[in-house]
Amino acid sequence: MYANIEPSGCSVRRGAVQLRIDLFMNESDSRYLEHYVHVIDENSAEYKSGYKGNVIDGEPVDKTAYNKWLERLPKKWQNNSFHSHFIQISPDTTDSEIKNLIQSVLDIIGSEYDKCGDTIQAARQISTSYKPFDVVAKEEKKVIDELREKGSSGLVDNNTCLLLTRSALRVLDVINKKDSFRTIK
Amino acid sequence: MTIITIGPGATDRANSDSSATYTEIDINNSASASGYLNVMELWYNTNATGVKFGTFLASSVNSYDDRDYETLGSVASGSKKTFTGLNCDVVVGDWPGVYSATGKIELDDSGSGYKYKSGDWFGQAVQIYSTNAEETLSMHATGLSYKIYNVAPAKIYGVVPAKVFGV
Repeated sequence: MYANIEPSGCSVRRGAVQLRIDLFMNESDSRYLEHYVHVIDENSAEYKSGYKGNVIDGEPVDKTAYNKWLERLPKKWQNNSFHSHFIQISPDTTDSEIKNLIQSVLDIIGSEYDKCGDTIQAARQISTSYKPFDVVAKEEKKVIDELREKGSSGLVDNNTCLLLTRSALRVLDVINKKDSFRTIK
Repeated sequence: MTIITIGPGATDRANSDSSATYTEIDINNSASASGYLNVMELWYNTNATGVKFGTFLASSVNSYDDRDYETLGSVASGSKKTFTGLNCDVVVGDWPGVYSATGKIELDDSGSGYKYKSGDWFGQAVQIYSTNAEETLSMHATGLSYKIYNVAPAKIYGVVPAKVFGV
């Protein structure tokens, strides 16, 4: 099995660098087929041309016709991650420390998954090495939006602005180097 | 310590919607206790992108305001996707909601229904939502009734959080 950083889930959260780690099985792993799934191919012309029936507020009016349209769409095989785990770290965390954290996540959750154990309980045992700010996403968004638009925020002090900027830059840095964080077990 | 549950369950349901770009709030199973959600689960019928999952409080029958949310990112289709290590505030009675830029979430044509509104309304003020009755969306989250941290923020960051951060 192996672990990758998933860029789409990486962000600044509660002032910290939040990274999403996706865990995958290799073809040779015993539980590989459980997440190797046959799914609709969103790149097919049929899918891209869209459902032609009547849709009101995102809901197809004739659900039978809609389901038939879905069933007729071309399919593809896809190796889904068997688990995604988020970690929150300081922007000063080094690359090597991040790699160690990813290895720890893979070892703890992967081992539990291998033996059909409780991966959620295992994930809950992964220790949090920092205390994040006690701020909900809505409030943090206000500050980050201000920083994005004006380069500063009147809602927090200058040090906090600097911290958020450093966290955002570290998120981008990790995403840019994501291949170097690939970890195997 | 109490285990919190919210949402009807992330399962392979009979149907799916085409409601990407809508904020949808499932009203089948509200939060059982207050605390924080650290596990979120979703099941999509087609690959989803730009997914946010969070908690909403109802201020009237059709008025909802998001309390907190997590930016999950892309969510693969075809199997239950489990996300752990999260930290989303929840209060007893809150409802779970999602937004995705693309993707179709699994749903059943039974249950208490869900609220919906076009657009991403996470991080915004209270909004008026429409209702789709007798539906169940494929989402679930669990959490704990209190938070455990090991290290004070000042030790890591060397800064004092200002009032907006609630410290």
